Amino acid sequence: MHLFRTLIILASLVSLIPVTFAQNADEKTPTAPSPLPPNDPSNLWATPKPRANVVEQKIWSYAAGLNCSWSRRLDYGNIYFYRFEPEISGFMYSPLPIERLWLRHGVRLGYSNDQPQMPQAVRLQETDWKASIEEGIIYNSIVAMSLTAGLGYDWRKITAKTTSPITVQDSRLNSSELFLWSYLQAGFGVSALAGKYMFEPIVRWQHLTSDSRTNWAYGLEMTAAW
Amino acid sequence: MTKSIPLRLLVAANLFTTACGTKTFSMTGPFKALVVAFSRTNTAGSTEFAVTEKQFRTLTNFNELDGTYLTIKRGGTLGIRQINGSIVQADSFSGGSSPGLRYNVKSGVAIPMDYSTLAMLSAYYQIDEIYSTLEEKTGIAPATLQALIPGGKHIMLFEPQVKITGNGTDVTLGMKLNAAFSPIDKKFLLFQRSPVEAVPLAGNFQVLTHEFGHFIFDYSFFASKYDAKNRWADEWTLKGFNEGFADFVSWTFTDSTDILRASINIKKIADERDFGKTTFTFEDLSGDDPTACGGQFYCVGSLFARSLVQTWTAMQSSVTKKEMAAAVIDTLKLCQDDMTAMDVAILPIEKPATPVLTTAQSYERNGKIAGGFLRAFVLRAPTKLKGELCTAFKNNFGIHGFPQLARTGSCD
Repeated sequence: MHLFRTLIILASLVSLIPVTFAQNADEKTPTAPSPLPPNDPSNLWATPKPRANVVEQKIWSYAAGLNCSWSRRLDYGNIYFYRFEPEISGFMYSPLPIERLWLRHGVRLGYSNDQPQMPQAVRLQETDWKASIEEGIIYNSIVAMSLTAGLGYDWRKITAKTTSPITVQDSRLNSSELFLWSYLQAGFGVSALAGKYMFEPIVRWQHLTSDSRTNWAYGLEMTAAW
Repeated sequence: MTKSIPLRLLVAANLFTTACGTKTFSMTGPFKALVVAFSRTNTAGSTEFAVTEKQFRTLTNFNELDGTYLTIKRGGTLGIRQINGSIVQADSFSGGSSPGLRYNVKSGVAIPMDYSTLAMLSAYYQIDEIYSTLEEKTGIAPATLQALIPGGKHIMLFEPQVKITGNGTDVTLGMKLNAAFSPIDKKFLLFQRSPVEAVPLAGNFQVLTHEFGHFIFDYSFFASKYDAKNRWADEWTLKGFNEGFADFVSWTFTDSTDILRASINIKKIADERDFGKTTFTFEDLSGDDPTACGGQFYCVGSLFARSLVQTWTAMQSSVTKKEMAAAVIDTLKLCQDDMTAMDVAILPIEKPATPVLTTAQSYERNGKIAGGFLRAFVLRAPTKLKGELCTAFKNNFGIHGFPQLARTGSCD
């Protein structure tokens, strides 16, 4: 039931995209009130690229890259452990009928095997694989500000490792769990080479349904566009 | 299509809210969990541990780790005036939260989902096991000790931050690789885990019975009226006897004289504290940096623990371990008053702040104080143990740690 409802969430979010573009398709020219020349330096992402086989003019831009992020997790008493959780991301941009405002549709894949300090003879190692889809709004300017909401899954494998003088280990310590991952993220991007590359520090508030140790993550997202 | 937008947004919003929910961890009794537990001391004298299923006997609230004799608090800031080995003089405590356990329940057994949960469950289990076997091992009824605890139960602080107070400057730090007992408020402290540890201190029954031994020393020698200003609380030699008694209590519960090695397998440190195997005597502790034992007053403790175990070993055909432990505890109850009243020729007066004693003067003074303690101990010990105690004390403390003047009338 849990998985079924989640699939409905994902389907609902994905279905919003053609709705947006369907609206644009009803209009003849989906551009901002004062369209900027394609090569204007301040027109960072919105270089019009008419797609083949499309009657109406649509503006698509794509980007992909790497996010070096750390989640802040309560591990040592009430002291935080900053866990390295790198991600790869892919984005599609589509314009909104407001100047400089864009929708950013994204997918994100993450992995982490970073562990806090633990004794040598008994360790519970947590390995995470994460996947999400996200929708964000980005304001295209010298500093590109974005606000994004995401939803996905975290699959965690827990591996117990014991050594002497621990001579017996109950195998039930090894387990895996699948839980929902949701987040709100703010970014402040700076681009280079007329928008070809973006460096975007992000701060993310996140929620994992069975892990309340972590709520905040920070990172630097580096993407290249085409 | 336009009309279906609000519906899809509504569905998405509703299910997004579901994603923001949090899993609830709950457990019903009898409470069982996977914990790190002491298995045995094998014939080679090495200790063995297991991560295995155990049932808690005194736990009443699983998620709060709250029970009859103990409650665990996570984090917080502990103000400490002084640390002497594994005894701290705590000033204050603030903050601290509920344990925040994360676990799955399979067939009625809690399976920890992270290391901190495993460590806290293990720590609770060790104290649970101590109180459940206290009377069997030492002859002390749990209620007797419980009556001495403020609020009727210990608080164990799991990985607190430490604020060293005093001299107008407070320093906050995260200490690692230690466990401690605070005799003022009867708290147990488990400091932050370290990658140097082997078996986590939180799950090491030998270490936690050692810390509990400080509680019993507080109950017996200090009559549960520990005061940092008490002369004996501040004496270097008495700190040593306190540590040695705690090692003896650990041996009473585990049959092991090798207290530290399972957790701190640093050869020099572990070897020095294995009082069943060390051979140094008080005679070897003179000088600025004695090579025989570098553990300061812990070395005196090892001599005392070794003497007690040697006494029992010689008497084991007629004295059980429980009888030995009970006899030692009852004897300690009578020592402080005797030492306070002892002739200054045998037991020097309280150390003056100035002039500062030389190393040789300190050694001689500490030896006399050790002798005074041993004299009081022998005079108050059960008659059947006196002979073997005298033999052990003479062999281990020599003429400098058990001077002739102290022997006269006690171990002639």
